[in-house]
Amino acid sequence: MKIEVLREKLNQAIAIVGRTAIKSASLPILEGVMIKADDNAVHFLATDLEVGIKVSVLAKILKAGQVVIPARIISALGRLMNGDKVSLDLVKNTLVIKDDENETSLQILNSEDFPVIPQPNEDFSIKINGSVLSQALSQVVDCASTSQSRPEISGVYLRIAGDQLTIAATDSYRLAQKNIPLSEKVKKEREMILPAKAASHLIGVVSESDNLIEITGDDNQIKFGISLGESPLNLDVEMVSRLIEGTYPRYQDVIPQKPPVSIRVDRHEFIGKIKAASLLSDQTYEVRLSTQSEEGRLRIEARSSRVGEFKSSIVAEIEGGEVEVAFNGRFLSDALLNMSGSDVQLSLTDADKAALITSGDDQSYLYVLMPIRSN
Amino acid sequence: MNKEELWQAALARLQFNVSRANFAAWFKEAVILDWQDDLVSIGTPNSFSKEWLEKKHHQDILKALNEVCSEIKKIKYVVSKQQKTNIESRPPVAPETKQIQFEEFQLNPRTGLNNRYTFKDFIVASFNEMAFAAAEAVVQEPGRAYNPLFIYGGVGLGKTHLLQAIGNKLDEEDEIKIKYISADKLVSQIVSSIYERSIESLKKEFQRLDVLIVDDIQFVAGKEKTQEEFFHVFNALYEKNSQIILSSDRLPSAIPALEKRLRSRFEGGMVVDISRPDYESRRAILETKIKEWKADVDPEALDYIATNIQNNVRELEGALRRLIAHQNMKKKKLNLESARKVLRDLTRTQTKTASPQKIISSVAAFYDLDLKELTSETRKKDIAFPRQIAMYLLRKDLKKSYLSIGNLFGGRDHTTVIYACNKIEEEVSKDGRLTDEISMIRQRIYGE
Repeated sequence: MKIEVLREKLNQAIAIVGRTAIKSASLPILEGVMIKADDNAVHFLATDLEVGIKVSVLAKILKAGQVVIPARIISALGRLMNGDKVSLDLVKNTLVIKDDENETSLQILNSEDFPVIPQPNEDFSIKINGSVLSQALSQVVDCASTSQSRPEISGVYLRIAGDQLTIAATDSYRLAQKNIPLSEKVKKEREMILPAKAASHLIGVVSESDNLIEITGDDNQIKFGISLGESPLNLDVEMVSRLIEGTYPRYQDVIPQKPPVSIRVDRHEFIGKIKAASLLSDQTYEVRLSTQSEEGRLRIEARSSRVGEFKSSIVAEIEGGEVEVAFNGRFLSDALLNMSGSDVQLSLTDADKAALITSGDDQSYLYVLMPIRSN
Repeated sequence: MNKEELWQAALARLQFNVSRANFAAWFKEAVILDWQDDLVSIGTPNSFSKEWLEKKHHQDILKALNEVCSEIKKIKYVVSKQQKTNIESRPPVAPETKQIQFEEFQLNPRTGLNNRYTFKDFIVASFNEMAFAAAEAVVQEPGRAYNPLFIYGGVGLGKTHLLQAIGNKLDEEDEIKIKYISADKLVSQIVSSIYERSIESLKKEFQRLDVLIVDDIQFVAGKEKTQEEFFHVFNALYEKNSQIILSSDRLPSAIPALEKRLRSRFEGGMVVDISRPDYESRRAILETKIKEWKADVDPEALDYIATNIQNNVRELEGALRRLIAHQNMKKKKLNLESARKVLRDLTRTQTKTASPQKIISSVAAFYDLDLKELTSETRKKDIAFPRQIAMYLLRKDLKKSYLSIGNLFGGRDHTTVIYACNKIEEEVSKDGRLTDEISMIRQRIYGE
């Protein structure tokens, strides 16, 4: 194999695939990135056996072929190279990487051992704006359960129905849900559970792309087809992920319907108070809220036996009665930070029922949070 | 040779053709799913290993299989579904867990059961041993021993736990169709299915069950349409020997506005109660919980809880939980005095004196009557009797004068009140069911 490629493109491609490569004692090849040259493109591949990713870039191919090198080294090297152009040349068992000033010879790994990234069937297909998808995923992915004891909630739930994509995640203490309109109606409804790691990875890849992403897949796998940058200097990214098997819980049941008490506050001010209160709470991050309808204020309090105490209040529009409730301050500030708009509304029933958090400015997003049992 | 032996023999040959890492990563997890004549289906744990075996090692595998059994000519590769892992047993509920979970998530979507409730965790003592024995009999011979099984008793005494435990135990059998539903959910499902014109399919869904468990059946009181539909479901299930299990906070005969035909169905099997736990049972429950939570509690403090919290097992556990949480925070064992302080507000609700209004409204609520009806002039028996009970309780618990009790009921003569109190007193002494009813009303007054 012998190729010449723009340094910037090489670095971009390695940065994207490099995050998927993992250290694996049982299968050392997974530390590697495969570089594969054909006709007039070079492809960079990596996989952790859950996600497989391939980035394709136009390059000058002097001789087709393939090679696997450790991801860690090539990504560090890439950042230190000079000049516009880099050449990669496979000489026997070493890969010689040359730029304007440097020449590096790298030991290669056995490319025969590199896994084949499976391709799903295209049982469905939708298109969606990259930054919209990335934004939506980042609004829910933190809610996915980090415990493997219930695999079905360790991922992000995706549902395609009609002309809408619904994205949700929960760890059974809190739930976030986002709706995104699709430009075309789908014929058949489809539900999938995407591993949280794959979702985070995807967010990183597509966050700044306004290009359309094509999503296809079957019952076992999902594929995201992404084009980054302007043609012809674009990077074509193909990410394939395993889907989590199982039935996602009927989370719609936990979204409270018309809770009687509603509290409307300024979002930014509220975030500040909750963060301050969280600093002065114990390991459970217990932050207590209580309404004072007559004064039109919401009291915010926290106490830690080791650190101290915090008391504050903010202006609030309160309707439907008084309520006292405690939440995990971290969960609450996560929720508020995921919202948009200047105001936020908390709808509550009582101290041990789920709270619904919404923003008037964005009807497509909601957050449900269970309280902490307060003594 | 069976398919397992075939695969073992093939693996023994294949291990020499691939590196050890590759062999461990790709071959060990694969299995032969099916072997028929010349075709072998190989199941792989994920699509990566399917691709790997199919694209890179198909020839090796075919050769190895062929060496073992020469008639094998074709291989099909499939991603076999992950083995369903059994739902892991629930971690013991640590006393300090404060973050509340979505309750709905604990439920098995197929059966509506919460796997947290098991027989193992159900503490049997004299107050619930009858109900427990009946539950065990039902588990042994569902649909035959007692059908329906009707369990009644006050709030927080473990009816739901027992019902769910029966369901979970029966659910261990394959192919048994179980549904657990609370009566208020049942009512709302029936109402919305009537609205959506899908009542027939809802009924069909119920009628194919082998076990139907309805919790808090007293909530169907006054819901005529629900009662009618439920009656048909009940009959269909009963006829095909499906087990029906019901719970209520009172006897079928004490559920107001319950159709006669349903009442007689409910009474047709086994009716068994869970009464209030006596001191020894309360003590036993606390001891069991302490062991489960691996806590160390001062026996005097324990005695204090057992003596003062009488009506409700849930509150009993709550008090212990709170005591332990305080101990953990303070990092030292609490003695009786500090335990008393910690639990002061809990025990206060137990001994608080009820107002006359609370007694009257609780009686009215128990018998599903309007407050106005209860204090009205009417002498209809189904109103007059609850009224007499209210008078009895006012006299007994609050030591109100006969005159003032008369005044509370629209200026009735004190002799009427005396008559009522004596009559109830006498009936209580000979009718155990009335005693139960009155203790449940008392629980409403003082318990919540």
